[in-house]
Amino acid sequence: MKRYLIIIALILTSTAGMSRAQLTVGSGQKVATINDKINKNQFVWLSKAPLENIQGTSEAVKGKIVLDPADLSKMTGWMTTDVASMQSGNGPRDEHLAGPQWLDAKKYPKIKFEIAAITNLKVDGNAATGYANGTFIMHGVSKSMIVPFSLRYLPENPKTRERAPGDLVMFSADFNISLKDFNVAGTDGMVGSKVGETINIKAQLFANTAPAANE
Amino acid sequence: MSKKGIAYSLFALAAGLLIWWAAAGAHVFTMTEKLVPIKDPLFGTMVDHWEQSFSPGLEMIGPAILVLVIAGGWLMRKARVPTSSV
Repeated sequence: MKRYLIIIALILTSTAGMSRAQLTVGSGQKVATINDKINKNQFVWLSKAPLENIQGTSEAVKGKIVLDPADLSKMTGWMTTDVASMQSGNGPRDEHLAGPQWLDAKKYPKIKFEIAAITNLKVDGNAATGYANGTFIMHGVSKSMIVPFSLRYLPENPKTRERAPGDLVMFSADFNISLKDFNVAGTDGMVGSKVGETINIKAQLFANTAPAANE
Repeated sequence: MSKKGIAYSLFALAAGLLIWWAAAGAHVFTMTEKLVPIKDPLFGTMVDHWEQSFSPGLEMIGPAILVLVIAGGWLMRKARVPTSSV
């Protein structure tokens, strides 16, 4: 009896180990392209400061994620957003935001994140969570960052085809960046009073695995 | 309406503007849009979308309140000071 229990425990342990990085959908390397036809791709940012909290978005998101549902630990990719697309619900403020004293859209038009490796991956059915280790590039400064993310994978079906062809993948991430780390000084005295020293960023990105026809 | 009555009306208007500003989120800068979360039925997640919405900012409401209070104060003073007759 004891031997059977040990054998069952060993089988369960090995099966759990095998499925740790594997979604319950097909296998094979796929390239997921960020696609606004699925839903609105954007980074929602929040600045919390003593005088005012400011919430805004950064849109015009582009990117590609290379992933194999059978082994998500090898996922890589990149995504960019246009600084000029930033909105905060106030036109003059948006112009300042893209201006030379802040993010300087003319000199540094893109913000980019490159995924180099995935760690701490946990898979549950068609969903997964983990940390994307990579490089965040903003305002001409590259910085290594670890971004916690979650992923939801929907295999192609009639409902997903209404949005876009191929399998659909949704990536969510929630992380903070320090303006100081990226040499964003802002107008004198604004950072720390009207603009937070740390900005919270929530990413919501939708991609499909169909070939390049929809790009 | 008497000068005093007009002054009280201006003070009430100033108080109303202040309450409107506070209720609309007490923004320093005027907002013409706000983010509204909309549920994506396919993924079951909330996605923020911009919607037209006017929320006054202190840079707009502040000077208006100041003008109303100064005008109201001036009228109150005029109402209290007796006019000299020749």
